[in-house]
Amino acid sequence: MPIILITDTLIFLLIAVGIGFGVYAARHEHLRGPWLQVGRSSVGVAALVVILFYVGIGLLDSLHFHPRIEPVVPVAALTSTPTQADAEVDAAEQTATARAQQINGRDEDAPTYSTQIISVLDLWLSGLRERQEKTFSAPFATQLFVKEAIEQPDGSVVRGYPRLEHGGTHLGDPSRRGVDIALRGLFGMLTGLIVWVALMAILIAVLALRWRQSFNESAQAIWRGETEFPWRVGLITLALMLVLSFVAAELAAKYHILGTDKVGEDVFYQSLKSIRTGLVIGTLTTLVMLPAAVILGIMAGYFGGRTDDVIQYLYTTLNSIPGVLLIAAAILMLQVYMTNHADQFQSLVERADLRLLFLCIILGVTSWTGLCRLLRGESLKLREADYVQAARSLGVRHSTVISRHILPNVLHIVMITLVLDFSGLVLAEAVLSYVNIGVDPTMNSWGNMINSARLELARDPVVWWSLAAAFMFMFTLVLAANLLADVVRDAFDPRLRSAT
Amino acid sequence: MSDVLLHVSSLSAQLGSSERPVRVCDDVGFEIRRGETVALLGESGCGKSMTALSLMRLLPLSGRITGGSVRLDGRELLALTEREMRGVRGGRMAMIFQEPQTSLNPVLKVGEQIAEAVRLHKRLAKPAVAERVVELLRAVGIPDPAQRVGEFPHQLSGGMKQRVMIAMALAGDPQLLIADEPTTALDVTIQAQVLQLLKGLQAQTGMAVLLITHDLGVVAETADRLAVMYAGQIVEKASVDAFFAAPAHPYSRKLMESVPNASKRRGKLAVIPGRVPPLDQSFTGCRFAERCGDVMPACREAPIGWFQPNRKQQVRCLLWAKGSARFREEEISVGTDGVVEPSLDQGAARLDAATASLAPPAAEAKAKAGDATLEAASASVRSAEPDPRTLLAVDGLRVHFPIQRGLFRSTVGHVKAVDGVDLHLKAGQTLALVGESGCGKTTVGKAILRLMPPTDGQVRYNGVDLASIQAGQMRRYRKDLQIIFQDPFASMNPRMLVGDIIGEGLQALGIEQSRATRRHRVAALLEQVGIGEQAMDRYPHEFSGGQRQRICIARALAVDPKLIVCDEPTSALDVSVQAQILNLLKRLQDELGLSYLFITHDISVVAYLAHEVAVMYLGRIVEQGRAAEVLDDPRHPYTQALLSAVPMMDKAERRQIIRLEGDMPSPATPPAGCHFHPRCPRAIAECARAYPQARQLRDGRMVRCSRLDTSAESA
Repeated sequence: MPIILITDTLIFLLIAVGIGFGVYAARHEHLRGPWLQVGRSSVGVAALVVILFYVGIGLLDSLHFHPRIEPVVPVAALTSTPTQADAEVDAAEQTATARAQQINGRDEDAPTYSTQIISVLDLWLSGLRERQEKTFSAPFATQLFVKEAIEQPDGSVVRGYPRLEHGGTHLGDPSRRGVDIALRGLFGMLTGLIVWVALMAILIAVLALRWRQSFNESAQAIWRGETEFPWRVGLITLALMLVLSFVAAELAAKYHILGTDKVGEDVFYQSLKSIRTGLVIGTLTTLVMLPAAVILGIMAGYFGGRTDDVIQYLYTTLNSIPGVLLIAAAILMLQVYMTNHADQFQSLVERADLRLLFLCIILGVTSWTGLCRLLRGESLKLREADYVQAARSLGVRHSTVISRHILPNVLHIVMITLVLDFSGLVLAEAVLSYVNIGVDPTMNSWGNMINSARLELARDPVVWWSLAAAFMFMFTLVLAANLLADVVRDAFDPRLRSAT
Repeated sequence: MSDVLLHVSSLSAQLGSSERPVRVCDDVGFEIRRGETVALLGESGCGKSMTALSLMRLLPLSGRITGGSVRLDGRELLALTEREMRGVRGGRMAMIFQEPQTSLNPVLKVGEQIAEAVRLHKRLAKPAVAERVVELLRAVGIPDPAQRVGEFPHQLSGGMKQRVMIAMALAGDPQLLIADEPTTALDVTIQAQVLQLLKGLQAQTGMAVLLITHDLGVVAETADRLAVMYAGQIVEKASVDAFFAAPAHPYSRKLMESVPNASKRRGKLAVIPGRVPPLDQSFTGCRFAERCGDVMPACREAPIGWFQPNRKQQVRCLLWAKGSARFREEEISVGTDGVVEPSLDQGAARLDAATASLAPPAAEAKAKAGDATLEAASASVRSAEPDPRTLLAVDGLRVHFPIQRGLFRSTVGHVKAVDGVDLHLKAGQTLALVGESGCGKTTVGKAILRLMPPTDGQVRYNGVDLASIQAGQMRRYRKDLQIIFQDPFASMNPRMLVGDIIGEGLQALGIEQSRATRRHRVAALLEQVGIGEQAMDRYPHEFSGGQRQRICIARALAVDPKLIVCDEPTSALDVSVQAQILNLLKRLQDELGLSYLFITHDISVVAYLAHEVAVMYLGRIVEQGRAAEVLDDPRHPYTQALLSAVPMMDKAERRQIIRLEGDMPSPATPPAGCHFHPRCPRAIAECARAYPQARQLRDGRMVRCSRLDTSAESA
């Protein structure tokens, strides 16, 4: 049974807006030109491919549903028994499921659904999700990271590192691990390359059709880098990403490739789940702040006088309140509200989702002033532009002047700000979660991963993988976003454009 | 030692990538003798500035010199190392630029900037440097030099800044001064000051000047010899006298014919079809062939060599291949061919007759200027001719901008941009509003259209006071009153299609509601202004300056206006393009009976186009009357000074320059009494007491000067 969370709605709205804008931009030379220039830059193409991978995972993670439960109740009850106290959250959910099943069990014809909310990505990664260990284990480990009392077959008890319940259990002899990893890695690489070759063949065929060339000619043109768009760079990046994904998928089936955390959850799974959180924060925040910033900024600049005074006063005041303070206050208030009205939320996921949305809103409220200020300055200048004066002398109404003359001419600023802000917001989430005013602790996010890993850094030997995984995933996304932002800025900045 | 200071031969420079280079100068050769002024003349995009930068080896990063030689005093500059070249720049040859505003560092005091230039070239002790700075400032005619040393650039006016730039250039005692459009950004009276200064300095120091300009008048008045540049090549080299007597190259001739003046009034100005070709192509034959009226097949075949029509002229044109006699015939045939309007001579003769017949009453008026009967006399003169209906009557228009200071934005004063302006514009005529920058003429235009709120006064259009009606009611009159702006690049939304730009007014005022009929009408308008309807689906950046100005005219025409405010519509354009626009405006006036309020600082355009002239100084009209009378016989001292400062190509037309001291005062604190008295050569103590009343002269002219009686006698 599909369920749509609030942030899901907004994400799909954002995609709709994005597609709408794409269609609009394709029809307008002044927008199409710079975007084509972005497409022509090899850095831009490479960054776009990486970001598309992230976005794909994020979208899969945004299709939520209540899983259907097989009507065999006792089996579900049985599977839940081995889960011990160390996996409290899961246990609570499982018992809730069991209870729901008992209720639903009465009318046996209707399909039964769990109250648990999972996404398509969860379904896809259900192997990773379900293979929980007891506690920490290092990447590719076959044994736990901490010593435990192990009962030997002869009844004696030895303190040692017990074998993992899932990671590397297929190996009879743990010492053969290296060979196994190499073989599986190679196999993953090969499948990745095969998929890539297939994709490439399709792409070249499509391009050949469009260029009215033979398949071979097109392929040669691409490989010699003679095409208008750097297809070669895009394909190489795609190859890299595909090989990485397939190797990871192949290995993750048998190992915890990035280890497990304190409660034994797979860190790789956590990192993948965190992608959605990061993307939501980075994009929805801008969606929230955009209308206010654009409307108020343009109004302040265009009308001037009293309007300008009021709007300037508003954003100067807002800007002088420390952002973190405002965020903390808003999040704590929301938390109090949620504890007092616990019955309004059907599940932990919904609670966490609402908190995420609130975080986006409050981040948006604190960050729209910068863009607003930029737009005010630009509109102030444009108001005196001859073409605006000409429009006014032709009797064009203010609303039309704004939508037809001012807005299209400040759109490049909006575009640059959005792309530049994205990476900043992803990082902001990590920082806020670290000080516990970010997303809900039950929600997977890079900030939460770092937060929970920080104490473990004091251990000896150090538990480094949670932090490293979060860092690696975040770094890749932010780097790609920053590279893209640079290219977008260069393409849209009129001063740079005239210089080249 | 020869007297040749700078010898340039076959200099070539390129910009941009090597696959598709822009050949900014190609096989350029000329020489400059000591103490001589050589002008490099040409339209924008012809490579004048790049040639100058190549001489200094200061080309932009993507540029490179690909060949040729530049010898300064026998020393090959292109072979010098960058280190040696630095000593040459500033020391042997110095350069001043067009825009004094951006050439000075705004955070450094003027004195420090000059001192830096001084120290670079001479090892002097600190007090000696300071002394030298003051000396330099005095040399360039800055009053109180000792005090000005401590001021920042923003405290100086544009003319002063250009003087400071010249002082910096002089710091190293250069033998050659390269002046790149040194006066283009300045007003005519300031331009006269700066040009005079350059001449004086040249006489004192004996340095040579390479003057880069597009203004034929400036060349005629200041240069000894000139070189005409076209599309990266020098096409004609001549002494100034020989050139203005008979320009040899077809381009030079067309350029001269396209300059508007009073004698071309009745006819059309000569135009050069097309535009300067882009320089990123390789040329085989003559670069002007595409636009030339006398083009022959041979012109396009091979590069054109130099021909020498006479001792003082050299030209790159095949018309001269068979000697000069051939060209004489050619020129005459061209003259009767209709390139120059055939009725020109007749027209001029008629004009002369008209002014002659007006002279006696004017003289009479002079004598009786102070008389009370004058009013009646001028009325009788006016009633003698058919008097068109007054379309627009501006009465006591004031536009003041409050100066706000402090936390609560309290108003501490007013900038009186327009301070009581009266104008009368008759239907179907052109009223030129003339003045220097900052005098408030643009504000008048915008206030008439209510683009700026008038503070006081009336703007009666067909009897309705536009200044006092509600903003909503104004929409009804938007249709009748339109505006054309100065900068054709800024006056169109770069994000809109040309068709939408022109159709905007039709849509906004609900004249053509349906898209199909609107497009139909826009197509007709584009044809009318000579662009063609295929322009409709293109963006403004695809058009050149002149074409864009035509599109702007089409936009104004779209709503069928009765009156168009033209705010310096041609001052951003080259002279040949200006001629096209002026011809178009004139044709539209004849066809549609439009009235123009033509705001400009260019006197030659006024003479060509206007029926009446109003001269504005610091927010007020000082003199208003019929164009021919005001321009031929200016009565207000300011008008006289303004007209005398305009550089003229024809020696016979030149007047003794009345040099105005200083700059226009700030409109925030206008001088007491007559605004002009601090700069007026004829001011007496009385002038400072009260602003002079308007006086009607017998010929219908209005002058606001209390010294008029004596000035009339002395004139």
